Amino acid sequence: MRADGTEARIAVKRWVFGRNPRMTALRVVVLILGATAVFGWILLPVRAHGISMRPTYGDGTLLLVNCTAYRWTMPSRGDVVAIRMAGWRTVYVKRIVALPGERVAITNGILLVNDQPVSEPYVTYRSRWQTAPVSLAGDEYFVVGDNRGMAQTSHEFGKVKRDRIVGKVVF
Amino acid sequence: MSSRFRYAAVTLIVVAVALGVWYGYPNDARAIRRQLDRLSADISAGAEETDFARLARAARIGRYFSEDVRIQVTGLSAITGRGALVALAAQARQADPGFRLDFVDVQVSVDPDHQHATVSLTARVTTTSPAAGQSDTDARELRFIFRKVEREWLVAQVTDVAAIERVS
Repeated sequence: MRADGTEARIAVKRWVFGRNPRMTALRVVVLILGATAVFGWILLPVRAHGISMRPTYGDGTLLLVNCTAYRWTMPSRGDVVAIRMAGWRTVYVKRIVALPGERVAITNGILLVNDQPVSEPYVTYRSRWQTAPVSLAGDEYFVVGDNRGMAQTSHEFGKVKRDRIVGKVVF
Repeated sequence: MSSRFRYAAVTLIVVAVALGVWYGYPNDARAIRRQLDRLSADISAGAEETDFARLARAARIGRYFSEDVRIQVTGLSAITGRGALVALAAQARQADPGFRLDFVDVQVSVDPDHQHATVSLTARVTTTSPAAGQSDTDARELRFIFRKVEREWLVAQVTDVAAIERVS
């Protein structure tokens, strides 16, 4: 009986800590450090709150933001990006629809960039939003959510500075 | 006891003492963060309280603010003075037991004179819809100006910062 108990204990210990506990500990440390680095600085996990990005992203969707996406390239039209507030823990998720130097307006719900209507296949719901034309400075982007069916006053959209853009939503 | 174990124990003790000194040592930025933690806890703790408890909490909230505090946040009418703020807090019956205020991404910058500080943070408010029972989260970036009054850091000004500049 005693021998059986000892063997069982050894088996459990080996199952938990592996054949070489020191290597297992090292693997755990590397895994924790790697996950912290990846999900802390490279792929930022964020949860979407609200309905402003419907139907692309619903309320409660977990998203991953590639924080290195714009290290060597500039944000482009159509990119869904995370925009920081005071820091990275709470961000807006919006789509870039106009780039620096462009002139943008919304007339009867139709997006106009440099006075030309823009095709937006990602927009399913559309109300008759109206905004006066605005010109974007060299470091400004125009961002808006995909849900244009909601009231214009309830939807956060407009100009955002380049340094506010944390990264690109990848999935 | 093996020497390796002894070294590990000594290292752990040294690290623990260093952390204790680091966190226990008086520091303006840490004092402000603590003040913000207490403020958010007092504002959040309002579920199912009696009228008397609500008045007491309103008075307690007033202690975090300077006499001439000014709060100007888009969409709300400006509040000037601690008295007005306490009166407003006393009137606000919290019908939502799920109401919660959190300050995240807090960045504190203390002036060289150690009498003023600017704090940038994101205020996250969670409310519960009584009908659906679902929680809703709203967030806004705020800028606090703190002033040191009789060794106590008090909020002197609150304004909001627009991460996205609205167009009309």
